[in-house]
Amino acid sequence: MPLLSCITTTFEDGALLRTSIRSLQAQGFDDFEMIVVDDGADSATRAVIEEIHDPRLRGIRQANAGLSSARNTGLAQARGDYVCFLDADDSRPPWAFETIAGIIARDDPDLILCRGALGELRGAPQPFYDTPRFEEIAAHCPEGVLGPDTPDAAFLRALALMLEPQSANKVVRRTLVTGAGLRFPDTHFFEDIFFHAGAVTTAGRIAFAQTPCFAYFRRYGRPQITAGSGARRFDIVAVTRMTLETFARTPAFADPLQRAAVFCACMKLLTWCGEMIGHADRPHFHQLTRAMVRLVDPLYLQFPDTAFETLSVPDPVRIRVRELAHAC
Amino acid sequence: MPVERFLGRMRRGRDAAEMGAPTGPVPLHAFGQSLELPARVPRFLAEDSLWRLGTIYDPALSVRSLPRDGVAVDIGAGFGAFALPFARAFPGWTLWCFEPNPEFFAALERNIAAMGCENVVALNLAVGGDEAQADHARLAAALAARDAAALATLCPQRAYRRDTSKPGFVEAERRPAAGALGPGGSRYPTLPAGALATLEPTLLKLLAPGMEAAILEGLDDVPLDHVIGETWHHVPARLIYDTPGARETWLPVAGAPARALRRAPGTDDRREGLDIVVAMYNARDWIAECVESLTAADDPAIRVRVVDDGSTDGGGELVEERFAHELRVILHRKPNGGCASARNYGRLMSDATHVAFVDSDDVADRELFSQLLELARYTGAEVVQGGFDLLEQDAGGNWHSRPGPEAVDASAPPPNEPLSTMTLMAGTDLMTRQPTIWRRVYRRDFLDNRDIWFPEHIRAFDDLLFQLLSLQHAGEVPTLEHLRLHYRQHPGQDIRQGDERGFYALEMFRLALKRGLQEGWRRFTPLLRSYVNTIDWTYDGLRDDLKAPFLAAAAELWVLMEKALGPEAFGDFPDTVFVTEGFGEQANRVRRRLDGLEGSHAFAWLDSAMMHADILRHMPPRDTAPHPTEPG
Repeated sequence: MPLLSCITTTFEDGALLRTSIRSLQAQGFDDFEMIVVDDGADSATRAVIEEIHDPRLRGIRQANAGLSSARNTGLAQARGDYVCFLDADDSRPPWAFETIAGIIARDDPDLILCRGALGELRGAPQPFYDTPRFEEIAAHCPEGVLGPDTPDAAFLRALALMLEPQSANKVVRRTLVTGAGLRFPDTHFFEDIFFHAGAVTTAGRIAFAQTPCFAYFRRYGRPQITAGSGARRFDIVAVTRMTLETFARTPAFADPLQRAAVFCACMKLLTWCGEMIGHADRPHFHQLTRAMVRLVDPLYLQFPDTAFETLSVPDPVRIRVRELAHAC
Repeated sequence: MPVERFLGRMRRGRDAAEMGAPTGPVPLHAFGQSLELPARVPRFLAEDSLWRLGTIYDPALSVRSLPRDGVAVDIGAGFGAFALPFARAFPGWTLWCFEPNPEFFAALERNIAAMGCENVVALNLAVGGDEAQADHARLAAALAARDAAALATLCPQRAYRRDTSKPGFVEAERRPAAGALGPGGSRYPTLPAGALATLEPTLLKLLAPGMEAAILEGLDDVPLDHVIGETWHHVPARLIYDTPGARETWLPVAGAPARALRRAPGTDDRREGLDIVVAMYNARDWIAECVESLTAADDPAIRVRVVDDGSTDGGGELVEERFAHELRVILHRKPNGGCASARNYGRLMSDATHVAFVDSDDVADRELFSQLLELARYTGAEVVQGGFDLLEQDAGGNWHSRPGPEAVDASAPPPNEPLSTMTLMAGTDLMTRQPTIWRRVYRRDFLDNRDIWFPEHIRAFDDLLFQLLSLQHAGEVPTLEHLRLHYRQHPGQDIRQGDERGFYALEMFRLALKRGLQEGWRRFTPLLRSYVNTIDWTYDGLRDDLKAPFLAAAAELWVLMEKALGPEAFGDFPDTVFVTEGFGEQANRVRRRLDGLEGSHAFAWLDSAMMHADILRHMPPRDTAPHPTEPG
């Protein structure tokens, strides 16, 4: 069994799919398998898959069931000790797997959270959005591993919860995935926060890779699923709800800071989606958000004001949270 | 054929004398031509011919692009109501007319002369099936020479009967060997259809009651591109589909408004036929009997695609060995992904115009799928279906069929009219019943167009969403109840175990609700009715510790539906329609929480983790977490 399974799902990516595959083939570390889930892909994309002759590639074909379900299919097929994800049009720098393998050998973590790089629309390469948080984590956790005995463990977990939920930034021990039932919420987009919160909450040992191990690209080349303005954005409301409901069943829920972290991490996504959604759907989106907050545990709205400062919650999110607390 | 017009024609209720009275000159409009045929013919014949011209022939040719020239054969030409406008509209074509009745033939000749159509050849002959004693070589020569006298002597005589209430209607005696003539019967020289091959026709207009199948048998090696007409008896669809030429066909069945043998030119390169997808997971004990039942009818249009979904019991090997020489059985192997994924995979691999999904432990009546494909070809229906019953094991270990809960007493049709017992069932009525997706045949283009798939993330109830969506859009479903799929009941069957999988039902209904809102369904009553049935049924079979969370989640989804659809949709559905106790109380709890929030379609997007079996299964039980606080 390989050390790593890297799951890529593809739908209508066409030639863009080569971006991820090539970056994996260029890795300086070999002990991995690439699982490509053809999620009802179009013929151009299928042609790209068929041109790849690499014994490490395992193709799985399914009818289009959506990104989350396709990732779950990949999880069910993975054989590596650890699993990770890479979207079809994203990439990993050549040192990524070697870095990850080094951390696994040294720290034996359940979860690795990695820094990343961002390819911006105008072509500028940058550190990924959550780099300042990684710096803050590094300052509080110089050894790079968060375990049960780490000082400030709850605070560090709260920071980890507030990292970008992005699927490519995680490497998860496969037995944790199966044991804790970690998965993506089927049929939903904006799925990452659910998996992210689940992984951070259930992992006993979390290691932080302070070296960029993935690159995320914003592109004009084709409409990105998460960039649209349509009703698909309603999904974030249900995903938030499921994330909060699931978290409410864990012991960490008793900690006001971690509770605030999960809630604010979700609210950040909701605030962003609320600004992007088309005007026709916007009142419905806000209505739905209010309904969602009423249906989850009311404790979520009760945390000390200092949590905003402690967790460096951005201003628009603070405003939104206060509005919701008032309206519900 | 529009029903009203058909009935109008049959119910005109005039007496025979009136219908037999001659008309004046017959004006007609078809194929872009307006003309008046001078010969006087009985009123019935004139009206009947004009009806057929306006209802069958003119529309059928209007939707095609006939080439500028060709050869057409008009069997049952009557006084030329089809032939003359056709000959005018298509001067590059040669049209061979056959009419056995001497009186009408005389009218035909007169009309041809009056219209001055030189591209029409008329012969006073019937056309029938091939006769062993006929001299084909001489027949072909006489036909090529247009030698009517020689043809009249060379053609075998055959018995026909007349219908006294419909003057002009002549039908072949079905058992010519008996030889006796009925009252008013006649013998006509009858050209064996095979002899027409020498004319190299590309269009056949067929009006030969009782002779349709025999004529098409006789033409089974002639590359026809077009077949139009009306048929009084069942014509096996293979005579259109498994024969040369494009055979674009429109052949309504007289007296059966819902049926017409049809074939349209394909817009894609799909194989015209049926693929039966059998999703198999560890069903080694059953698969052979299943596949054998599906291939028993020996229908070349049907293939069986067994999808081995990662079986570990050697079922794949068994299929491979046992059906190694059966080219119509195709084995596909894939990593395990669940029944829905295997069904979808089989569909993705399929290249056929029609698809069916059968479970690997079920058994079909020998003719079930063969006749369902026939029915599909006679109705063009998106979905056609057979009957079903339950296959149960007795104490002695033997399997027996038992009528299911919706059993219909259905008798078999006569063998030569296999579709005559067809009934039409409203898809929206079928929707509210338990899923029986495996007794149906689906048009592939319909499923693709409506984007109807089995949801792969669902490991039970996956056929519920498929059933809801396919029947919502299917319209009327032609049904042959007497042919059955035997659905095997195992004591330990999936859904009956009462575990978390019951919660998949909620996810299915939310997905259906979302689709309904996005697709603008006119009515949600069948969906709601189906929800009520499913919830009561599922709750009943659930493990005790799951009953409370299921009830809470089901009631919540009900309230979300209310918020999304508005109260009008719920006129017939007060909370009390649920048999399940405590449902209304749970629903009111959610209503109180959402009090004051206006309704919106967006509520269909607000599912809870409790509606997802796969999340629920791994959720820590509530009592390890701080107790949630109810609002005051």
